[in-house]
Amino acid sequence: MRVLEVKGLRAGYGQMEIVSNVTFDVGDREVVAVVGPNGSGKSTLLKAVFGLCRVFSGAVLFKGEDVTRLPPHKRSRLGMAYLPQTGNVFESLTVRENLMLAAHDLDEEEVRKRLEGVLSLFPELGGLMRRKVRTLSGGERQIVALSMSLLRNPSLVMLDEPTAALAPRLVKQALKRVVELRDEAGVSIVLVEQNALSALEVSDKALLMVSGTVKFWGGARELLEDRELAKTYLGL
Amino acid sequence: MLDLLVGALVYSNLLALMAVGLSLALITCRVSNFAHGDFAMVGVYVAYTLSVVAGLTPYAWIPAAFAFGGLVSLLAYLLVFEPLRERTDLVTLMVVSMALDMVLRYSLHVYADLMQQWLRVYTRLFMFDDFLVEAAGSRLPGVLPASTAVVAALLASLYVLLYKTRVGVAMRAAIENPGLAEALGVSVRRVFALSWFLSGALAATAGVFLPFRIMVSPDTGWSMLLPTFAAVTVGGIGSLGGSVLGAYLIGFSETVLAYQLAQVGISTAYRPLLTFAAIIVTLLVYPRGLSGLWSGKGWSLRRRS
Ligand SMILES: Nc1ncnc2c1ncn2[C@@H]1O[C@H](COP(=O)(O)OP(=O)(O)O)[C@@H](O)[C@H]1O
Ligand SMILES: [Mg+2]
Repeated sequence: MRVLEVKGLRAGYGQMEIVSNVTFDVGDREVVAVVGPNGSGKSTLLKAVFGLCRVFSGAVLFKGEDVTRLPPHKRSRLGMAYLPQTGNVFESLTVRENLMLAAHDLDEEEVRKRLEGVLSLFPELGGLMRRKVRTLSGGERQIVALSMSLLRNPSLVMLDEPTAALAPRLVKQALKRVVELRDEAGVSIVLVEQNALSALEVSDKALLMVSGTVKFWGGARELLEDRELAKTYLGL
Repeated sequence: MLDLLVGALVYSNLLALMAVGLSLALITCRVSNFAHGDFAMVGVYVAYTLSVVAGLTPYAWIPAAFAFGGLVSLLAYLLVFEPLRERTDLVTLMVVSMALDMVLRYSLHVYADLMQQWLRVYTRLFMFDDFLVEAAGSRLPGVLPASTAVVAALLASLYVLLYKTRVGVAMRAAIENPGLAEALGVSVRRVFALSWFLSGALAATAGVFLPFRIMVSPDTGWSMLLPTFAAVTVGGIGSLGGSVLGAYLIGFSETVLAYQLAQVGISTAYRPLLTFAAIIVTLLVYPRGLSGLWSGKGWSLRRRS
């Protein structure tokens, strides 16, 4: 069974349709890159899949269950995780409080166990626990945000430009870590990325969005090798 | 002189409960809730009714007023403000809250009529009987120690709730960024429902103290609204700590000014002048209010804009 199936999704804000007729799917432990020019509707697509914007028609299936009309917090409880592009941490809270919040519906034993797991993935988190998030660097915040998602033991993590706040030299390394997550935490990943080349190199599948519609859906390698599309839309 | 101090303190205590409650509505749903004063009046009539029917001083019915005021406010959130949250603009929210004020106020008027027929007591322009306490050689009205103790206990509990419990972390998180909290599995609706319950509960508690000082009617809530807004504005919109501070500043300066006016023979009916002036001057000079001065530190909850 596919972890995520999106069928003919139309979504947007108010009366405005931003994303039109998008169909794709994500298999177990797959990394799917969503790429495309700025403003092509990548963020809106993730929001629609997670239930944070208006869906006009189409369906979202998570592990075979239709979740199209489910509120976001219920999708989260089913095992979907979504990391927004901005505002993905609570700035006025400490790192510990941020993590506590992500684990708010678990019992203490479970929280301790999962926290250990997250700390082994991100050892640097240990020294930051008491810090207010607003005092952290962009990279540190990204780690906190990712840890919050992982604490919930999701089977699918959707990341919206996780490298946007990082210095260019750190991007490749960060994306490599994202893929390690797939292997170590056993999750499927949908990765929206501006750095198309780096993203496609670490992904299994690719979805190319242009003006709210799908221009390409298939293997990440195939998209890289399609000179025409790569040049026109990704500047590669 | 002592009278003046007592009056200022009681009034400020009352404003502090009102202002923190109003702030809770503001930071969760961004609604300048004009019905907030009515929640206070709900508290008044709950305590009045119970003390007439079952005896005992109105002070004994504070828990009932707290619960009932909270319930009314909770319903206002669930039926009116939650459906409008994220879906409408600030002006619409404000107008809706004015409409809600009318609905509640006239409901209170209807209730006051019914209560008058039913219990054969005055239900407008009434006051509660207070007890007196001996302190430092003078007799003080009981509402001073009573309101001070209740305000201290409620504010301390609110602090513990917000900063030492899981629910509190969820409340602060949902206030800062409701979308993200929701994404992490928090039911923002539930968390905000709790905030609104507390908002009305605090106002209703404040209400119980009111008839110990002044004569009240269903419309009295409306006149409490202006100084409450002033306290919230002066303290910095969105900051609970600021609201408390603002309440004592407005409470004391308003009382002292009214006294000065009376001294020179000007009617104390003009005391809202100061309150309005405080709002305008604060917004001009310190748009973020007093809490802007310690921004981010301490008891400051803000929504990301
Ligand atoms: N909250 C919103 N309300 C209305 N329009 C929006 C909103 N967010 C994004 N848009 C519009 O949707 C389009 C797609 O934006 P977005 O999904 O952020 O693209 P991308 O992530 O690919 O850069 C843009 O034209 C943008 O102006
Ligand atoms: Mg985007």
